[in-house]
Amino acid sequence: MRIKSLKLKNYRQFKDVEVSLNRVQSKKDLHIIIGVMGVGKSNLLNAVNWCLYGEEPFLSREDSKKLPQLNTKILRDASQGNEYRMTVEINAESGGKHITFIRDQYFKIGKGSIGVESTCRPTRQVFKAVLLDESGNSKIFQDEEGKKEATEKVHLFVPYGIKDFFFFDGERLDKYFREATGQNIRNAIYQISQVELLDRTQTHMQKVISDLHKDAGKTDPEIEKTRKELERLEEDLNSKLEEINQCQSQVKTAKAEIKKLDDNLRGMPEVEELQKEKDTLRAEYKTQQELYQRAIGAKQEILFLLGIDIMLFPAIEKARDIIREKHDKGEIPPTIDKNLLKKILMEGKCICEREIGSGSSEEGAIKKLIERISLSRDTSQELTRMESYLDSAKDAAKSYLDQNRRTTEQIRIVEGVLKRITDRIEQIDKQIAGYDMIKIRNWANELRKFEELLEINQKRLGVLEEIKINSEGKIDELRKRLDDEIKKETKLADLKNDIVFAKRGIDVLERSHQEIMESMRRKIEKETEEKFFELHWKKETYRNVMIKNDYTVSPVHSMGYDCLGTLSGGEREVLALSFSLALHNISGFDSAIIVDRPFAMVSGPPREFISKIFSQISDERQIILLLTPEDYASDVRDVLEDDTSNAIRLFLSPDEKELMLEAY
Amino acid sequence: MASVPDRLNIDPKDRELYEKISEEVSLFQEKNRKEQFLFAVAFGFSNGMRVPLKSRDGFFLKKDLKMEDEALINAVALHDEDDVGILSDKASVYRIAEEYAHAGIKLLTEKIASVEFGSFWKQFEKHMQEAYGSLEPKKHAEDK
Repeated sequence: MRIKSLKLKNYRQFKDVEVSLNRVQSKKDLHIIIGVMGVGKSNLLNAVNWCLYGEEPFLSREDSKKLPQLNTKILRDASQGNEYRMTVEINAESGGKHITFIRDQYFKIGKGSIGVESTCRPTRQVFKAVLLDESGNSKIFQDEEGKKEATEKVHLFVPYGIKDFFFFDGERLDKYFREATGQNIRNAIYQISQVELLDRTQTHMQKVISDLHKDAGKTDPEIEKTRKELERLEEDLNSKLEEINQCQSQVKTAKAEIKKLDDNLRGMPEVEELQKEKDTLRAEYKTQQELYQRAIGAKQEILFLLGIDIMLFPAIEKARDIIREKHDKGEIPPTIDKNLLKKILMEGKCICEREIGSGSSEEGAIKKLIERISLSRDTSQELTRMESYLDSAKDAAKSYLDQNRRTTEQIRIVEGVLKRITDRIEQIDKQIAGYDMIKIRNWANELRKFEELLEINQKRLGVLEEIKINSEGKIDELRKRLDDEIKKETKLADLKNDIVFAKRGIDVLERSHQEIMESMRRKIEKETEEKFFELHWKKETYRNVMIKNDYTVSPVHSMGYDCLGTLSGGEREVLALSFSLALHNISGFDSAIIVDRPFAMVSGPPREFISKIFSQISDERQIILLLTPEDYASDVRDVLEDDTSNAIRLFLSPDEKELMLEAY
Repeated sequence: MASVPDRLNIDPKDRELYEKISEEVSLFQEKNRKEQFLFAVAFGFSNGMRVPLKSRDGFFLKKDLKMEDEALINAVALHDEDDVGILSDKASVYRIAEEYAHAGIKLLTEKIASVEFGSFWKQFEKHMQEAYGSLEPKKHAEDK
C-alpha cells in the first residue's frame, strides 16, 4: 500500500492541509517532509496512525498530550453548543486497487468560556474505508458496533500487530527491538504466519473432546466423577498458566527496563553512594571544625594569659632582682618591725610598759636601729608573698614556646583533616557536576524497583512452574484414567473413537502451528540477515543475524557473540529496516515505510550510508521521511535530493496555531 | 600606712574602648574586667606607655585581684619607682597600673583597628614571638 495523499482537516496543528505524495515518473518513491524541531512533524505520523488505528503513539511532548486534538484555531473561534468535525483521510493504492480511509471525530463545544480542554468534548467517531475497484466501482465499508468492516480492510494492508515495523520514530529506535524483549517480534511473526485459524480450530477441538467427555459422564457416575475432577484440575492449571504468563511478562518487562536503566546509568556517577559519602564528610567536617575552633580558642587563651607574663617580663625580672638583693642583705625576712620601733619612739613607752625618756640611751639605741632597718614588716611580707608568684609568672612565660608549639601542631593536624575533607567534597562535586542529579537518582530508584520486581516474579515463577508440572502430571493421570474408564464401557465405543480422532487432530494442529511459526521465523531470519548484509556498510564485522527462540533479533559478531547491545544508532536503524523489509517480503504487506527523524540517533558517515539505503529501498516501495533541516544537511541532501519525488517544508502560521506546507 | 583603695579605676572614656575590643576580639568577651584590665596594663607596659587618667571611674573591685595579680601589679610599680617603699602605698601602686592600662587599652584599640578583621591574634603571636626572643638571653643565663 502506497499513500497517494493525506488530507488533514482540523487535526491538531493542521487546519486544512493536503499532503500529496505522488511519485514523479523520473524519480524514486521517496518523499521528504522537513520542519524545524517542535513544529509538529511527528503529528503527521500520528495522523496516519490515528486514521488507520485510532491511536496516536508519537505524542512525545507532555504539552501535546494536554492539547485537544481539535485544531486550536477552530476551537478559539468555535461557537458554544456547536459540533465540529476533525478528519484525517488517507488515499492509498495497492495492486491496482484504490482505497481511501477516512476517520472523522466530532467535538461538541461546551458551555462557559472557551478554554482548551474543558470545553471541547469528543462525541462520535466514524471510520470508513472506500474501496474503488479496477472498473471504477466503489464500495464503502464502515465500522459499526460489533462489526469492524473498515478496520478489517486496514488489517489487510498493515495489521495492527506489525504496524510498528512500518511507521516508526528514529528517536525511539532504542526501543524498537528491546522494549518487549521479542514479544513484538513474536506477535509480528504470529500475525504474518496466519496460524490464528489453526489455533481457533485447536480450541474448538478441545471443546469437542470436553463435550464428548460430558456425554460419557452421563452414562456412568464414576466417569462423571473423574471428568469433573479433570475439569477442575484443568481449570486450575489454566489459571496457573495465566498467572505464569503474567509473571513471564513482568519478568520480561523488568529485564528490559533494567537493561535500559543500566544503559542510562552506565558511566554515570554512583549518585547515592557519593551523596552518602558527602553527607558523612559534611558531618565529619562539622566535628573537625569544632575541634579546630577549640584548638584556636586554646591557642588564643595561651596568648592571652602567657602574653601578660611575657609583656610584663621585664617588671617581673626587676622585682625578682630587688627581692633577691633584699634577701642577700638579710632584710628579708625582717627581724624587727620598723613601724613598731617608730611607734615606741612616738609613744615614749616600751612594749614592756617601761617609760623611754627623751634623750635617754634607750631612745638613742632605738633611733640607731630604725636607721639600720630599711623595710617595714608589711613591705617585707609583701615582697616575700610576691616572690613565689613572680617565679610562677616567670616559669609560665618561659613555657610559652612549648605550649604554643603544642597547640599550633594540634591546629595544623586538624587543618590537614579539614583540607582532606574539603578536597574530597570538591572531588565529589566535580564528579557529579553537569549531571541531572534528580534524573540519575530517579533512574537508580527505578532500577532498584525493577530489580525487586524481577526477583519477586522469578521466585513466583519458580513456584508456579513446579505447581504446573505437578498439575500436568495429575491431569495426565486423570486423562488416562478417564480413557480407561471410557474404554471399559463397551457401549461408549463410538464415543471413544470420536475422542481419539479429536485428540489426533489436536496433535496435528499443534505440530502444524509450531512448524509454520518455526518456518516463518527461519524465513524472516534469513531475509533479515540478507537485507542486513545488503544494507550494512561493515559487512565483515558480523557473522549472521538471528531471531532467537525468545524472538529477540540480534546480529552475531564475527567473533561469535550476540551484539545487539553494542550496535550504534545507525546500525540499529539498519537492523530495524532490514527486519521491516523482511516482513514486507515474506508477508506480502507492502505498506509505505514512514520514519520520523531517521537520523536522530545517527551521526557521521553512517548518515550518508543510511540515506543511500533509503534511496535504494525506495526503488521498491514508498519511503516517507520526516526530517529537521539539520537532519537534511548537505551530506544527506546530496544523496537524496535527486531521487526525491516530493520535498515539502512544514511551517507554522504567524499565529502559531496552524501548520502550513510549501515545496522545499 | 596609707589606706588601701577598694577598687581599680579606668578613665571613663576607656569604657567604650573595652567594649569595642570585646566586640571585635571574641576572647575578650569571655574575659572579666580584671583580666581585660591586666592585659591592657601589660600591653601599655610592653609598649613603654603610661598616661595619667584625666578622671577616674571604678572598673572592678580590689577584692577581685588574686595574689598572683597583685604580684604583677606590684612588680610594675617596683619597676617604675625603683623603691620597695611604693608597696606600702597601694593607691600609688594601683595608680601606676591604671596609667599603663589607660595607655594600653588605647594602643590595643589602635592595633586591632589597623589589622584585618579576625587577624589580631596572628599579629599578636608575632609580637609575642619577638618579645619572647628578647627574653631568651636572660632565660638562658638563668637556665645555666
